[in-house]
Amino acid sequence: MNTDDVADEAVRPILRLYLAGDAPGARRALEGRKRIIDAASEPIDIEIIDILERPAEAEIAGILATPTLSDETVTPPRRLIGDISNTTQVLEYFGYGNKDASG
Amino acid sequence: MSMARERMRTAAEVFDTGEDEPLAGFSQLSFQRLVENIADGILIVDLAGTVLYANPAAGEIFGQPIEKLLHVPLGRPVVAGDIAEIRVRRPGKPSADVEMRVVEIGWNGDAALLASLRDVSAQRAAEERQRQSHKMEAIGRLAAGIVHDFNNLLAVFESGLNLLEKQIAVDPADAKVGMLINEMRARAGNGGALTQQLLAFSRRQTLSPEVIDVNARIESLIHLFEGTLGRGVEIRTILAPHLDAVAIDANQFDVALLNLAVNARDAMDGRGTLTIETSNISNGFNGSSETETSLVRVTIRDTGCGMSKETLAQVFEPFFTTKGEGRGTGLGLSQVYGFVHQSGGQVLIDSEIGKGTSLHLLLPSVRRF
Repeated sequence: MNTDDVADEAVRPILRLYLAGDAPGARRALEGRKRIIDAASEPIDIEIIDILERPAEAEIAGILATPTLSDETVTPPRRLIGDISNTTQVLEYFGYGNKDASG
Repeated sequence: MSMARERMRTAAEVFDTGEDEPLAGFSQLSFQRLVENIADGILIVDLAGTVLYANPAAGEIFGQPIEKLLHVPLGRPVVAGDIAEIRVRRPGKPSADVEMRVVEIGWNGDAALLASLRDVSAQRAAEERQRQSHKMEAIGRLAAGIVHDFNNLLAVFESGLNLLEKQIAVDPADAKVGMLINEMRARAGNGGALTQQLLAFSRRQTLSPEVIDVNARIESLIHLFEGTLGRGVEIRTILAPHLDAVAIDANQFDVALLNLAVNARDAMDGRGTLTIETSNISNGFNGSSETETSLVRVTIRDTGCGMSKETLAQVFEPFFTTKGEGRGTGLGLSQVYGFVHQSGGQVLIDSEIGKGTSLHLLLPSVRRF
């Protein structure tokens, strides 16, 4: 394993976006994800998990519906479900800054 | 029913702890009954995303007893605008498409969110069926179209016979007699091809399936394509070795590929790359099939102008065409659709404006003997 990657992962918080294939809202959620990454004042990784391809992960995480954006580094996991296109609201919920707001 | 009693008790516990004043003239029990009998699912979720209350309809939507939903970290429900569409996973059942609305409420003195959920899966499926039936209704329009095309062919025949009659009177041995007969034979062929396409689409034609090697069939057609598509179109093939055999009508397959190649040429305005690709696919493509099936995928990809969503919704309708008058009959893709569906397969399209179009024919494969 590359040590740079480990260091990078350590500083970059990872959120997970659970989607279901081409379900309604999935494409919108992907667009939302991109905007969140662009708008965040610090680098954020948002991993995409298609629960049709990786159903076991959804099962383990207890995902009941998609799209769900989840921070599983805390207990219980902090989650948003539904439409994540309101970038400011999403960043605030997960405790991240917004470039636009800070600048 | 013990399940129903359990649900009532759970709801009652939640409502009993409420501090809200009973509303004018209605008892708390009335409101409990209202919430428990309403068709829409109702979830009360705290601001951290934990489920505080679920009504029986919500339990139905999630396919779980209400008790299993309580205290679950579902997530804070969010909508942009009026509603959000979510897909609900259900243990042992197909997932459900659900419309979610969210309002802020007070719950036992704290701020909370009320998410109302409506299962629209049946509605979505009905809409899909309606779209399909609209396409099929278009078959009705074939009658008018074919009359027009056949009248043109008959006019050609009539004038051809007149010329032939005159020519025979002058000199039956003249070479022109043979040319006229050949010309009319070609027109008869056009008429025959038109009726075959129409019949294949209306699903009444009996196809003659035979076990064929798709790769070999494509390779034999490439020569014809090179002559038909013009010099500006580069033809590439990516043919999977050990491709499974399929049982289809070989002539209809040729016609389908020719239709798709001509469409691709027109989409590229005579300049670009046409790629024909084949591969084996197992377990179906859309996951809807219970039985394990193997498919052969034939993809025809162009580097042309692509199609808008509006165009994509209509491409399989007979006589729908984006080509100018006299350049297309609008029967090409409807032939492809009719033939592939009759053969037990399906047609999928990926297209994006400016990026080209990929058309996938998924044909059920057969075991070689």
